[in-house]
Amino acid sequence: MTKPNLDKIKEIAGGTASFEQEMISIIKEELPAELEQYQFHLEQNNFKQTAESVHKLKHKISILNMEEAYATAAAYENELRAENPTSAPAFKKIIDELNAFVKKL
Amino acid sequence: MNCIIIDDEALARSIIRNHCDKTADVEVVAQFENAISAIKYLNQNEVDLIFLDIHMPDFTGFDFIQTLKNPPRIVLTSSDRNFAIEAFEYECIVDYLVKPVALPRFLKAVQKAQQFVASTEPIQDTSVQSQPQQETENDLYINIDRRLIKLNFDSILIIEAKGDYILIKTEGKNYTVHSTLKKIEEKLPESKFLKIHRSYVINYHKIIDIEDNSVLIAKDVIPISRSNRPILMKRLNLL
Repeated sequence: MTKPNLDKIKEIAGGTASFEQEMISIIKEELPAELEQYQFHLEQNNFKQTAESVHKLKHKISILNMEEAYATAAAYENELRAENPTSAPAFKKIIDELNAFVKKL
Repeated sequence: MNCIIIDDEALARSIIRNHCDKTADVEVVAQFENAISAIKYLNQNEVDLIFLDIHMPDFTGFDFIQTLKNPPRIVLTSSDRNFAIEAFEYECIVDYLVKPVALPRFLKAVQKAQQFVASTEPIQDTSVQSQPQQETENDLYINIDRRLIKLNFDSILIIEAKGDYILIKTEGKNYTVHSTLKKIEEKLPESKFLKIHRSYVINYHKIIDIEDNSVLIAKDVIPISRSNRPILMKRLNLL
């Protein structure tokens, strides 16, 4: 599994430090709220809204360069839409790792 | 080219805006975190290009496109990597970008949009047919981009108010129409439809279950207002 890293953010920023910092700031601001929403909908057993939350988190997973984790998240989103979410434990590991990484930024 | 960005994620808007800032002849004139605000803006302003997120809560990018009479060129954005085929069913869509968007790929999309803007007139819907608008006993015709689409009453599940628009959810597809709940209510038979909340009219034959102050129809949980609950209960064949 690729660990979360800033390689893709640096690539997108193209050497513009202020752009790189802006992206990191937004991720730090958006991620806690998105994780909270995910947890809330999961606890409510609301598959549709949980899938929406996973969909949003996929962008964060992708931009932090977690390629294998992205595939798991995409599969989990589809499972939720089919109301058969078997990848919840694997996804929890991903978001825990993501959250720990972002907190250190 | 003047452009607007529509995306519910601040991160995605930031990336597109920064890429636009680095691109000659592309100016971001407005950004929106939801499609409804963008529709209001477009009612009063013209733009050459829209960067549009497909997947937004309540009102998707495709719902949004259906509300536009003469859509400008649109570049779709999404975190999904498998939407491409459906995306190009719309003539106004010039490209499809997977988020997060890297600058070289973004520039290709802008180049495509520039070519389209330079070489064509505003898009006209060629699928318009001169079909008489009429209401029959079983059907309702809705006007989507100058096309009259027939909806059988039995296929309609829910109608939801969305500002100046209504979202009609059917068994096969969702439609966004510039109208009000009051107007559509007048066209619907009372034997099938009931307003159960200020924002919702439902086909009550499609109810799966009722729990406290909500009904389940397909996968949607719809609130029932306190004043409308007794009316709904009267309509039901209760044991």
